[in-house]
Amino acid sequence: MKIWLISLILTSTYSFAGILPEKLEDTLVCKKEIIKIVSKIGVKEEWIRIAESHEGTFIFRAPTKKFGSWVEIHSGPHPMLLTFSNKKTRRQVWQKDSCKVKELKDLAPLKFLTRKAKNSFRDQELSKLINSKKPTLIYIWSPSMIYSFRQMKDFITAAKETGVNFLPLHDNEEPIKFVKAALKHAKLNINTRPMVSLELIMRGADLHYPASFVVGKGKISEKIFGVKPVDFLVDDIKEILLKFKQSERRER
Amino acid sequence: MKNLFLSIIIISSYQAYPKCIPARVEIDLPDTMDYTGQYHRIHPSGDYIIASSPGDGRMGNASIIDLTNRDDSGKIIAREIETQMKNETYPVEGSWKLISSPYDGKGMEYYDFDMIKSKKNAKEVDSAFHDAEHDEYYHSSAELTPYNKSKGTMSFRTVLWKGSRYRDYSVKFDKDGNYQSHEVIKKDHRLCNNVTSNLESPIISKDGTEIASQHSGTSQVYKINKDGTCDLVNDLGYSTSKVNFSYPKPNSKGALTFTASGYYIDSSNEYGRAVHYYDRDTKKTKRISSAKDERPRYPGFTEDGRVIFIDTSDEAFRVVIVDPNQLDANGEVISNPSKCIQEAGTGSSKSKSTGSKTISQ
Repeated sequence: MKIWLISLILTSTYSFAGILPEKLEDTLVCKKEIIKIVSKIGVKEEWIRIAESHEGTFIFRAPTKKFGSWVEIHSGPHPMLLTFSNKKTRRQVWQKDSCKVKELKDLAPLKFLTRKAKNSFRDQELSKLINSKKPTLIYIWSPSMIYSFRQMKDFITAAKETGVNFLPLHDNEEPIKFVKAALKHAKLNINTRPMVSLELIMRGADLHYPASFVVGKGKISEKIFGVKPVDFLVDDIKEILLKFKQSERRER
Repeated sequence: MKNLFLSIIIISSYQAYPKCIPARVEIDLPDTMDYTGQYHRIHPSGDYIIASSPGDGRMGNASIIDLTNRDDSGKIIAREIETQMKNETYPVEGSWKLISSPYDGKGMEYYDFDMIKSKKNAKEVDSAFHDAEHDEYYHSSAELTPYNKSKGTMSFRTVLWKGSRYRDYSVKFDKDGNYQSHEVIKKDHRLCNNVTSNLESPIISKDGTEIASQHSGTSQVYKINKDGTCDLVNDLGYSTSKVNFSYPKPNSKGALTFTASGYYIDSSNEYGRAVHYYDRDTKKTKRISSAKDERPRYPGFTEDGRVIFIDTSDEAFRVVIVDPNQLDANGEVISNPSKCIQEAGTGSSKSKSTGSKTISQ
């Protein structure tokens, strides 16, 4: 009986391991209850820590099994779980004493998803690109960051050299007249589209421009931060493609 | 008698109590220029802001937003000073005697900011000097020994991203503050080679002794040793925009400000870039912009510790000035803050900045 109990505890501990961010393992209030819900939602990748809004709390986010849906844990005395999707934002809050979950009224989708944007690039299209055989270099730029349009040619060259498609997307917060002016200044005759993707924003695409991702073969890379010379970019893209290949082999 | 003593104590306390600057001040900017699509750097006094890419007509150039002028009612009249400066213009942090500007593959230009301020047509002001060997993106500069007008000297450091290297300069000025000569005193030292072969978008501290960079998906601060090697000082644990260091203060490691993703749970369902404040002494982070700040961008510290950023919306532009000590995480004012930035001339720690006058209006 004793051995059975120990086995049960070990199995339970093992099955919980990795469900929560490591940093919250020992401190999260109502941990057991939160794990239950997070397990049900299903987290697909490693948790990413983001800047906390309140002193002494921690915020982590991760993509869920459902593409275009992310979950965010806010620690603190009344922990909160936010589930973002293109349709709504779900909020669940726990009371410290009872650890009972309280479902707050769903909110409309995040504002940046509802901002007007002609011919915008959204998660639906991102999903298609991720699942395509030929990888694409997604390049997200902003007219407010000079180098992001002045050095775009380097990324176009690096994409050509590595045999991947190139897709320029721009910061949808900036007026279109500046987008046009920036392209004119950089002498770029390209078709750029507003980036309105929850998946890309959650991966920090709006923290600094440019932000680039290589997608394809069912994968999305980590963010390439800022501009780099062509030879550096070629190395980065080759390394990502190699990782994609290795991961593909492992999955087979 | 007891009551009399008590009254004296209360009055004395009241008279000695320093007056905090307002926790948050918003100054509407006139429609004379479009502040969207710009990249900003904040002057130590808060009176000037470098704006790179000022408008569709001058895309790729840099202007100065001058906030020193007032109308009859005391309201700030923002003025754009057009300059020759280009690209991601960056001040030589410290006194801003010089501003560095990379010029389209032809080297780094160093402009005298006093000259730019004093001339009617600042577009006529040529650079004080030029370094043809330094031209790159993501550079940053800071004074190592501050500009001393009576001695006519200063030294500074410029850090370049590619290959993570830096160059130190010594500069001489005449008694009127005009540039005389410069010398490269340390040429292209490798930076933080012991940590990484390439720092992601390094930003130098105000005194040139530390560097902040993105590394392995988090923002980190390193101390720069004399031989160019680096020691990790702070790992924020998450990714941010480029950080801005506070000015050095005795007995404190200072603070950082930056933008990062933020979700305002208690108000609108807005998700966007919010301004954050990281206290390097307590290693705690809090958000200091409010849910009503639609697009807060490029925050920077003034010398007295205020954080200034420009917020743009579809309807209006404004400068937002905050005292991080007096705000909670939703950008709301704390009723009894344990510390605050004091108005100039009150309390023991006087604010040197002329900006204190700005925010008391």
